[in-house]
Formats: sequence, structure tokens, C-alpha cells
Amino acid sequence: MKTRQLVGNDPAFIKLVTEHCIAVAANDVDYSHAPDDQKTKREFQWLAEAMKGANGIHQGIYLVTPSGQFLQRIDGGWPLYDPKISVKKLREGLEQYQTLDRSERLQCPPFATADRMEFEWHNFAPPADSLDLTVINRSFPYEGADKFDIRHPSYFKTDRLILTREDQLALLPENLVVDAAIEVNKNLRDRFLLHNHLAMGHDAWWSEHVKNSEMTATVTAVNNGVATVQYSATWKAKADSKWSTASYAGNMLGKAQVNISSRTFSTLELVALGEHDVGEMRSNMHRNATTTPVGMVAGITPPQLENQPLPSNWAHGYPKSWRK
Amino acid sequence: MHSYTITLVIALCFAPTLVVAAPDSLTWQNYETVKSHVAPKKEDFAFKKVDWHMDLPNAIHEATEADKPLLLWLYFGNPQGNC
Repeated sequence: MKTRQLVGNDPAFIKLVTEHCIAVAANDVDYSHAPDDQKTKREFQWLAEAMKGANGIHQGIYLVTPSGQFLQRIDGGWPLYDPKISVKKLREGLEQYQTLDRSERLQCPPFATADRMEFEWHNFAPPADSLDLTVINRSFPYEGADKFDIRHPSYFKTDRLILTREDQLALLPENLVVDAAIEVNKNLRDRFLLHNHLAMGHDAWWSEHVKNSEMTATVTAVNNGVATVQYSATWKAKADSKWSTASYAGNMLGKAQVNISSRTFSTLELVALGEHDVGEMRSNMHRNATTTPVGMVAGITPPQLENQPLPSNWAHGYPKSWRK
Repeated sequence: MHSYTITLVIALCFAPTLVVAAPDSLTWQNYETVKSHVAPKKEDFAFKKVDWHMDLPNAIHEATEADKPLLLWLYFGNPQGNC
């Protein structure tokens, strides 16, 4: 998150990358923790060799040649990544690239299918009738806020929440007439908490940690075949496992426009506010305050996306059948 | 900026940053204020101006054809999101 906002959003960095590089965004753990049979693939071998200059496949921003030669580590200034350092190192790396013979920097046979690694997420494909929501979290100002801390209000978290057709229908009263209401089922309403859509970070929530939750959907208006639906929800949760002692208390309001005949959403907007206690502070993420006020905004993701990151809970929070 | 980014920011209500203290609870009266604080600002997605490849072999091929180095942004999860 910090490299994305502090370096990735820097105009000078963006200009250099778009003009002079081919950019790759990847999960280092996908490679470093790949099964042994995947590590025999040439894709892994290429990356492992290229990253020898960084002492292995680790988090960071790096410049390498297509031939797999390490040039530079680009990010710098930890714990507050400094875009000026990144721009300077990127310029140095680009100059270094130009000093190499073309054959030395480009020598790399094309990758055959057998050379490519297979990742489960490659085949993650939600059904065509699912509704994709983009979820943003950001803390409100709090005493002791420190820019080292991932919860600082200048940072935000982005994720996706995918609603199946069944989920969408579960958000609607049976009859879309004014004052019709429904209690949204526990599985669906608790997903907001269990999938960490209500707060910064990623806590290890279990369903039994949810001490109380409610969510209602009420039709407030009907006009020209469109129903306006309002949402109201609350959660109170306390984790008590060895992996998490976090807690959360908050509420959500939202509104949607729904086509009455097709029961499809043309708009859906959800806003939440709560208090999140991390329980145990982690020295690589947190400073000073255990409890922070945090908000959420969720809205329908524009269709026809390219290079959209998967939901953070794609592996365990969604049907296995979605991974063909 | 990628057209998706513009659409997403508009969809989530682009607003200038207002430094506000959190209300005690969310109500319909403070709904827009809370939303404005949390929603991303236009500059929050500037990184999407870069064409981030998620397929390494394809990116290597493209870099070879273009005679350009590869910028590898490696992070737990996906650096573009979910963190």
C-alpha cells in the first residue's frame, strides 16, 4: 500500500516507467512459495536468476533486463518510501541498461506454454451474472497517527467484493414495493466483516467472532419500473484466537437503484463507519494506537476491466468452482 | 488516465480531501461527509496510468520486442490492490 501511494502515484516515477519500461505487478509469494514442480519451469528460473542481485525473490521494486540480468533495486527510503529515491535509482538503472550490448540485454528465447508457471488464480472466473463491487477503506484522523502505520488516514485499502446472483437477490425484498423490507441473511452480511471489507489490514476473522450483526433492506421509493432500496447494517465482533484478538463495532448505510422486472442493480453504494481495534499491534505495520476509526465505501466496479487484481479472499472466500 | 480509473473514481465519488474527525456513528445526515473522506481521490489511482502486466512471460516478450527493461513491482498479494 505504501509503495503504491508514495512511489506508484508519483508523477515523475509514472512518466519514467511509462516511457522507458515494461511494467509488471506480481505477488512475490506466488513465486517464492511455489510448489517444487512449478519451480522447475523456465518462468520461475528466469525470475530466480534475475533476482539474485536482490538476494532472492522478495517484496520491492526492481529493474531487470529481458535477458534476466538484475540492474537495480528501485524502491528506497523505508519505512516511508521516498519517490525521489526511486526516480533517481530508476534513472541510474535505465542508463545502466543502455550501456549493455543489445544481445546481452535482450537474449531470451520466447516462453513456450510448458515454460509458464500455473497459478490457481489464473483461472479465477466469477459467473457472468455476478456483481463486482470495489471496496475502499480509509481511517479517520486519530491521536498518534504515524505514517509508518498502514492505518494512517493518508493511506487507503482497495479490494473487491463479488456478489453472486443469489447474493444480489438476497439483498432485495421479495416484492419491490414501497416499505417492503427484508433481513439480509447472516452469511452475506457477515461477509463484509469476515472478508475484512470494514477496516484496514487483514484480520483472521472466524464466523463465531461475530457477536452481533443485523442488516435490513427497505424499499423507499418506486418510480418508472425502478425501486430505490436503502440498507442499514450493524456489526459487533471480537476475535479470540491465537491468530487474532481484534475487535470491530460499526454500522453501514447504503442505497441502490434496482430494475423491478429484472431485479438487477443499476447502482449500489454502501458506506460504513466503525471502530477497529487490532488487538495485538504488529511492529511492521502499527504504531501507537490500537483502536482507530475507519470507514468503508463500496460501489459497483465499472465493467470490462483489464488487469483487475483478484479479491483478497479469492482462495477461501469464493466457490472453488470459480477456479476452473 | 485509464478510462476505468476515471469511471471508478467518479463512481466512488471523487472529492477533495476534507480532514474531518470521525462522527460518533454513521447517520444519513453525515453519510456524504463520511463517504467523501473515505472515497479515493483522483490522484490515488495515478499508478494505473502505467500498463501493469500480470503475466511475466508476456511482459518479458514485450520488453524484448521493445528493447526496454522490465520494472518488477513485487508485493504480497497484488501491489495494485488488496493491500
